[in-house]
Amino acid sequence: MSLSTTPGKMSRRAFLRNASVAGGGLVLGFYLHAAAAQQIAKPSSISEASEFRPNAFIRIAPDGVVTLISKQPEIGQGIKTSLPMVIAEELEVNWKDVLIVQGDLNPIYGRQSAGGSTSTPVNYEEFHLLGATARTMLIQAAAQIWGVSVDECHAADSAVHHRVSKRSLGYGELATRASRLPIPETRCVVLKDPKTFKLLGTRIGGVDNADIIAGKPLFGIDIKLPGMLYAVYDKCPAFGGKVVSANLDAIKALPGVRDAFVISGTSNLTGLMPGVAIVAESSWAAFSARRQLKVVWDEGRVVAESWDGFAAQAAALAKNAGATVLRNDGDVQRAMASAARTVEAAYSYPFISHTSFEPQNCTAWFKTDGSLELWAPTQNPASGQSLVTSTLGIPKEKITLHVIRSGGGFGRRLSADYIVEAAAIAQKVSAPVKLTWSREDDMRHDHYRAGGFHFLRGDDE
Amino acid sequence: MSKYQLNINGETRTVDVEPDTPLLWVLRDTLNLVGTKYGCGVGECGSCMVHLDGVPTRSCWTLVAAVGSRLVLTIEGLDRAASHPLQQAWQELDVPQCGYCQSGQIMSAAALLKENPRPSDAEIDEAMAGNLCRCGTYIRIKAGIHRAAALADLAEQKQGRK
Repeated sequence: MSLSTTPGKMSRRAFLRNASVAGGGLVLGFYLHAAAAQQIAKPSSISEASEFRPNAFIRIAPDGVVTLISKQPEIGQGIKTSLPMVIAEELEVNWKDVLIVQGDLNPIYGRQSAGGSTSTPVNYEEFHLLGATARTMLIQAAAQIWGVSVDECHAADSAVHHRVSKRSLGYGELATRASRLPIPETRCVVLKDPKTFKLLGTRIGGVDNADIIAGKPLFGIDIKLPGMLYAVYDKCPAFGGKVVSANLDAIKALPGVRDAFVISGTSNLTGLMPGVAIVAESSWAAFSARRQLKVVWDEGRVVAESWDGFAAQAAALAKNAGATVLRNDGDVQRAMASAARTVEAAYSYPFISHTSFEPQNCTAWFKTDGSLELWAPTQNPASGQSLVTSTLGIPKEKITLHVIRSGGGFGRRLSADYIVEAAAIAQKVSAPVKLTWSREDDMRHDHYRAGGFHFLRGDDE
Repeated sequence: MSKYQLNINGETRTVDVEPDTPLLWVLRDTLNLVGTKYGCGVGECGSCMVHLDGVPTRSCWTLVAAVGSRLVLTIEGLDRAASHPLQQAWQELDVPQCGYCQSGQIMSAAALLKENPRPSDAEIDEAMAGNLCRCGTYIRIKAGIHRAAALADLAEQKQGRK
């Protein structure tokens, strides 16, 4: 099936998608809406004025550098490479000319969430259109300069070529002219025939590989800002427990410790849980001081729960009749009573921690003007922002969230508890502060894959 | 706080830290060498692997006071141009997924190749058993080590012909 969009004829897939997300979600052409395009196209400096910015994701500078924005959180799934590849394919740009920049949380990018393996299927067609629209405009710009028909021109290798006269103009040379053109209607944009793909379908390395193998700062935990302090956050070992008291004065007197305080938190078990924050001059000073921390907890009602308790409860419940009957063919009761052989089996699986290799962390800077800047390795930056707003009352428009590469996600970083914790700590510190969870924090305070128990019985007549 | 003179990647660096600070945090917070990663803090996962006098060593479990005059090599110092055969092979075969454990993996592999330039699969398994990868890139890590061994061979042959 060709992906080209023709007027009045919508592919079944496009129809299904549009129908299913109408009501605020992503619709074809979303990123090309005038408002979104103008917002990103509005130049903020003189040098940017000559750049070609046909949409929120593509910038072509007069020196020929093509910058593509990666909107989705990179957690090791490779999306920072693969979605820009889709644009580059349609744009007919050489991959070596491309610079990929991770986008902050910004509504102009649409949905920015990596979970459920949807980043590629949701964005694939849209990203083809983004690249193809820019290519169409670059061809128009070249045709105007040469005074020829666009039909005589084609794009390849980061340039537009005129077959007949054998002339070529690089994308950099076309940037300023293209930036003055109106964005064409989607129906005027022709997508490439998949048979002509040069990049898609080939194996190219991850765009961050060079930094990974050289040990460059790349992950959330690698963030360092001038004057930054380092924090740990101690929560009740029993979920939902509250702080009664803590030896804060003793902790504050320890080497390298700048402050220690209680955060009363909320009752949201996936939000800001109560705890004690220690803020220090280095990660180790904070980790080390924590070993001296003595907290009296009100452990709350769940402290009596245990795996043994769950198992006993499940075994007792399994003796009862099932709550739901899915099928009831024939006379099951009689067949069971007269069975020649009965086979019973019990299965259970434990609560399992996601254990992303990079422990949860977030750097937060609460500024004197009441704004908050966050650097978060996250799968779902918008949920981090909204949890901070609902918990701490910092308005959305005052929160900047930088999406940082995650050392693994596995679903754990869809939760934003560590983001709101960092923000709550930062509110009490007049400097940027990096919260780092210990590995033990990550194991003890995961939002576990739920454990379960299954009891099965079969009878053979 | 106490002052320590450390030899890190061929340079003498003076740090003023608490004696019980693990080398890991001196590298990351004091010296801004963040390629060495914090994974577990208890010497189990291998993401903090560095070399001390060429011996692969877990920096989260090595106190700064115990380093002494030993030469510390981190991922940043493995090769000036980041083109050690392992680093080349890692890029060529697209080994990393999330990438968080990879500097530790490369440091362990570098120590292995120094001792044993053509390791077998079993020898790789044994030498790399202390490095965990949550994404499960073990198969590509193994392929990367074999490829690095071959690249080092090729480079040596070239040198020999000169």
